[in-house]
Amino acid sequence: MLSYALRRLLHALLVIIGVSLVVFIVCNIIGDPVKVMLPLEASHEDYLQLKHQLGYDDPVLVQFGRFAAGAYHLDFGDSLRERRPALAVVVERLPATFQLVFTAMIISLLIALPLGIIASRHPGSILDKFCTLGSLFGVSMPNFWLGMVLVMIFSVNLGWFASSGYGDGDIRYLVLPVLTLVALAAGRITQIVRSAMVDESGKQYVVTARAKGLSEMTLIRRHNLKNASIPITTLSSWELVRMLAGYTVPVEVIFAWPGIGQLVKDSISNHDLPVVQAVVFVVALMVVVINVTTDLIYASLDPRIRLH
Amino acid sequence: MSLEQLEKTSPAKVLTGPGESRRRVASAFDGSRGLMLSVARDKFALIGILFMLVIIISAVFAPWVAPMDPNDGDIARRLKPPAWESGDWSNLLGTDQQGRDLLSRIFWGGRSSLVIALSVVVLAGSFGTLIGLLAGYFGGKVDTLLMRLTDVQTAFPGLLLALLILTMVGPSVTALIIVLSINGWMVYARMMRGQVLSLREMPFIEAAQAIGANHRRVMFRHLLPNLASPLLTLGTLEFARIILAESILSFLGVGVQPPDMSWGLIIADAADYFQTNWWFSTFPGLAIALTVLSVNVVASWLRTQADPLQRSRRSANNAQGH
Repeated sequence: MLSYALRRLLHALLVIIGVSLVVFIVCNIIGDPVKVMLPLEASHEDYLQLKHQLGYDDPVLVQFGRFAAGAYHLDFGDSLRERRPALAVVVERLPATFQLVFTAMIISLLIALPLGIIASRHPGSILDKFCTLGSLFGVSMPNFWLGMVLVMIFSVNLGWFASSGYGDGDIRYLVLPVLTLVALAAGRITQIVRSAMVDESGKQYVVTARAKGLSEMTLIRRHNLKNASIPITTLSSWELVRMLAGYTVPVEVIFAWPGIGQLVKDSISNHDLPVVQAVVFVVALMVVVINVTTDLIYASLDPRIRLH
Repeated sequence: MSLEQLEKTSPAKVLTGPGESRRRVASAFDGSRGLMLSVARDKFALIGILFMLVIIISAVFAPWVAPMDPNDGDIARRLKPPAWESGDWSNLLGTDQQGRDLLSRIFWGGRSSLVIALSVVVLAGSFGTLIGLLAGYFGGKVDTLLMRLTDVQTAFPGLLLALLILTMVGPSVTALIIVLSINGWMVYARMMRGQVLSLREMPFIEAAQAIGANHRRVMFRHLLPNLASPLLTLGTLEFARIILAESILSFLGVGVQPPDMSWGLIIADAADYFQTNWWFSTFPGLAIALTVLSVNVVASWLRTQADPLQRSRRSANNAQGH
């Protein structure tokens, strides 16, 4: 168990180092950060001055040392726009994103688990086809567009929910962005629950369980679902990662939701590079935390992983 | 005697030569006649394939089928609703905020969306396949190193890094293709490695090695042809995913740039108008959703075709269901 946990932690460390390296190479070697940060009408003198001021005329290795030390202390410099530490700007926006993503994740699971299980009971039935086609629709729609369609229907025409903004905890503001994120995640999780459960129901132990008189409910709950939990956990954690590391960006933009996705988009338009770097780094950290947690859940679910 | 001849004449060939490699692929698809029959039986797959054909044809022949110049706007005719609402049939699906014909823009937009997705599938697919082949075939340290790299990159926040890279190097179609390929090769590598591991111990690989085929020949002439069908299925699925990813990046302004157009970019134009002019965002969005949906339907059908086990299970299930 200990060596398994250590191996997963080493992997997490490699991911963080890898992301930092990519961010550094992209921002300092491939791209020209000074040019990105300056407004278009800036003169060449402004350019040289800012370059010197920010230390971008130092040798690459010196710059990398500074970047690595900064990243180690979670210091990405000051936001160019707000003139305070970029990390503080990012951390402030995290709760709004968490609210969106975790609500969406819980609802997705509440929809996908029963739906997938019901569909897997009678493969090929009308109900199964309905679930399969529904989940295919869910995974095929671009989420920013789905958001627009939902606003047109439920906010402009029916007037049930707010079309955009945060609303300070007012649930009517949360419904549509969450629904937008749920469509994709619920679709994908339903698919995996269904196929994992269909696989399990074809195995030999099911015959034994039925022969000894186990009820279908107990069979599903105690045996099938438990065995299917590994692929379901994998995919659910993947969906969580995908939401945090990307899907929230267009959704927050559409709904003017004040989370990190909106922040990233604004910072890119404002050429606020330190903030963009900080967001990428913070999200990478969260992804790693989710992955390590998932690995530990595996180990508790499946002794073979723990003992391997 | 050349290796080619040896492969053909060697007694091992009867059981295990490259001929078998090819036959396995063919049997996986039951021959083209079986394939056609199976399409006809699966209504969803049939509709999916037909819709894909319509989209591909309209994209390839956009210059001829588009009723108007997609960039030629008439500000006096801006934001016109579709023909059945306005009664004016010169713009079937209406016009955008600059008075440009929406239908023509969707045809042309499909062109870039499909070209980008296809290029990414080819680039990422080739690189990922190569990595997966090397890791699976050689095993040991090569495998550990390559798969560690794959695992580490899989855990990267891909879309955010893509946003950062495209901001830094400046958005362009080429940059978009490269960035999406860098983000997408890992799935191929993982799948290929798994497949190679299960094939590596088969007698026909041993036979090929025994008659002196070098590593490259075994990998590309004997292993790769057997991996064609899972690769095709994965490529199809990835194609759908890339269309969505491209539309997100273009929507956020770091993808395709005007005067070029893509479906995501048209929706970005519509973002300021969608509450009052429903058609503007609805039609390009439908183009993305229906294309991705039909590609997904075709991919899931391909998967059941390529996997005889699943196919028989499915027909058994069908029999049970009816």
